[in-house]
Amino acid sequence: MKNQNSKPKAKEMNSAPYKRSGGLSVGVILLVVTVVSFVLSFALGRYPVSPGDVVRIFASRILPIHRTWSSIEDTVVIQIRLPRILAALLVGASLAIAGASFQGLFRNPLVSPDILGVSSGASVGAAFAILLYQNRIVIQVSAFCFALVAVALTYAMGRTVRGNPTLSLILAGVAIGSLFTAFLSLIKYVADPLNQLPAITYWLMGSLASVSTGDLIYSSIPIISGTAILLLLRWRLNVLAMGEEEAKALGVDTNKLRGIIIVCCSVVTGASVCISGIIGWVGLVIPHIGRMLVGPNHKVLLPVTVLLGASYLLLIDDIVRTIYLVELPIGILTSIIGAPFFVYLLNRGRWGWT
Amino acid sequence: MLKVEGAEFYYDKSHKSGFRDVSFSLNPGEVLCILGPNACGKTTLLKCLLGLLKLDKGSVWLDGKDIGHMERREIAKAVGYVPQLHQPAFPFSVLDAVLVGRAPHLNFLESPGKEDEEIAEMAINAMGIAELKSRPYTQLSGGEIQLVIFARVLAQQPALLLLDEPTSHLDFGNQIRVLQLVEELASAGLPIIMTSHFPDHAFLASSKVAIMKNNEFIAIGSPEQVITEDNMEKIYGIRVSIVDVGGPVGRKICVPLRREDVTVSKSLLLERLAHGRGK
Repeated sequence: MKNQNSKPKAKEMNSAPYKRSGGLSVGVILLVVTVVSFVLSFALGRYPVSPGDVVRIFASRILPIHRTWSSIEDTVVIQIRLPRILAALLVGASLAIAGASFQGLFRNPLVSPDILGVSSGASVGAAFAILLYQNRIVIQVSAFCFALVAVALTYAMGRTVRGNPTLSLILAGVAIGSLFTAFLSLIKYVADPLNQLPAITYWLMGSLASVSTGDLIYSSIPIISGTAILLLLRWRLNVLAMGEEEAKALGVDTNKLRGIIIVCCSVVTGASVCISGIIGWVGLVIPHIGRMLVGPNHKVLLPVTVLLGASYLLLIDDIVRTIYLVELPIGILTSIIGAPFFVYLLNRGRWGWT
Repeated sequence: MLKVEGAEFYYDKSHKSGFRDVSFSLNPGEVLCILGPNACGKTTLLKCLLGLLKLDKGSVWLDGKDIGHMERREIAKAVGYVPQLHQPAFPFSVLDAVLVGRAPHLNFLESPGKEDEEIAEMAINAMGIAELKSRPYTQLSGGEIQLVIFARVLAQQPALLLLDEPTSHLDFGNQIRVLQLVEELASAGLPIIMTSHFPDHAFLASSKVAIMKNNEFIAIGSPEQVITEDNMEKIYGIRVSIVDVGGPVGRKICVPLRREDVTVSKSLLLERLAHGRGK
């Protein structure tokens, strides 16, 4: 049973009642923040473009506006910054919603989207493709396929173990993850250290710098459809969070629901990792911030994490591309910020979970 | 209402854990209390009645329907389940935790609406925890959490209630409160099956008692018929006295007797220990 001594203290800290309407106002604020940072992000970067011009450049696509900006500005905004900004939003939203869904599914707030081996699978796929072809499309497709293969292996392995299905999935994920990490080491070992190895290392650090409009179109299809399904199913996560047996007793076909959620999360994460490389900590930290803002009810939490994740990664990417002459890989910064922030979250009350 | 015929289920081929040859029936308003030692198959039986485990033999009829042929959701609409110990994973508000009980009444992509919220609130009020409605349920006491789970099962609006040792993790006061709740729900017409480790609880709240030992029912009937000194010794291996105390209690109670040989062996043990220390 619970520790009786620590209880009164915890009660004082955390027993504040939830406000039923809190979710909506937080959602509206986040939506405004996302839209404003979306517009302002176009004005940031090496080549100066004023926010007014950004709005005019976009407006000119629909409205007949007298041209007051140079064609370079037009190219910078539409062809360079637009795909990158959209990619930051998509990848951030994907990692965040996959993290929040997995945390609910596994009833564990310390779970991240790569718990079932998506990232290690994608890393092997990308590294393997770099070793053989160095072609961008091949690298992306290979990363995506290997990501799904890794999850499928984890899932199959988890199913063979008797007992608690979520626990066996997590353990299978650990095994498959380290297996793929070993493959990755092998590929790095045999890679040409002058150009292949740096390419692999760079991919593993994550970056949105080279995302093209084409990448964005292909990856947005799985990302948006997976996210939509997760959002449609989000209330069911509350039922799953009651535990396997209780969810079944409440009439839920847990195997089917778990399968759908795992497929959606893996597709969404795989599709975003294949264009961005490995960007850690977003899927772990953002759902916690979401729970701090609106509580653990997944019906409210999931839409909020989408907005939070999108605006967070956009902000981080803005920092990455403006802070220094040479661009930092974004995965480095998310980890530098994420890890200490997570420790802070752990110490600060215990809002996110019990 | 509920009819179980020749039910048998084993987890393993060696026929060690599970149960066999269980038959009984239950009418509205009846409370069946299943007593038995640890690992005798009580919880397994409840899981079979819930359809979580499929019977090897026999059948369970619910209002004339065989639950072996019913879908998960259909069973959940009819049968509510309170687990031995609910382990919260996230600090849902009490209302959100209770709303989960509406799951069997909603379609796959549906989430609870106004009407479901009203039903959940009614269930919360019925449990007398209205003032806790917006509180994170992880911050409540064990007894309060149990009431939340009861509210959840009421929001499910089942026709039959299965309680797996509903009192085992509660303090004395909350145990009795839960039993009173069981009586109230039964008098409102809900048939209830509960497992318990306390013969006294069967006297307090049940109209029928079954005794399970070595994977089968060895007795079933009214508490007075079944809870006898002989039966208790048979299943628990201890001697008890069952007395009608009358007066304000007005019912039978079951109290363990002191073993006569206890004092002897204990003094012997103490002597040996002292002897050992002396060396």
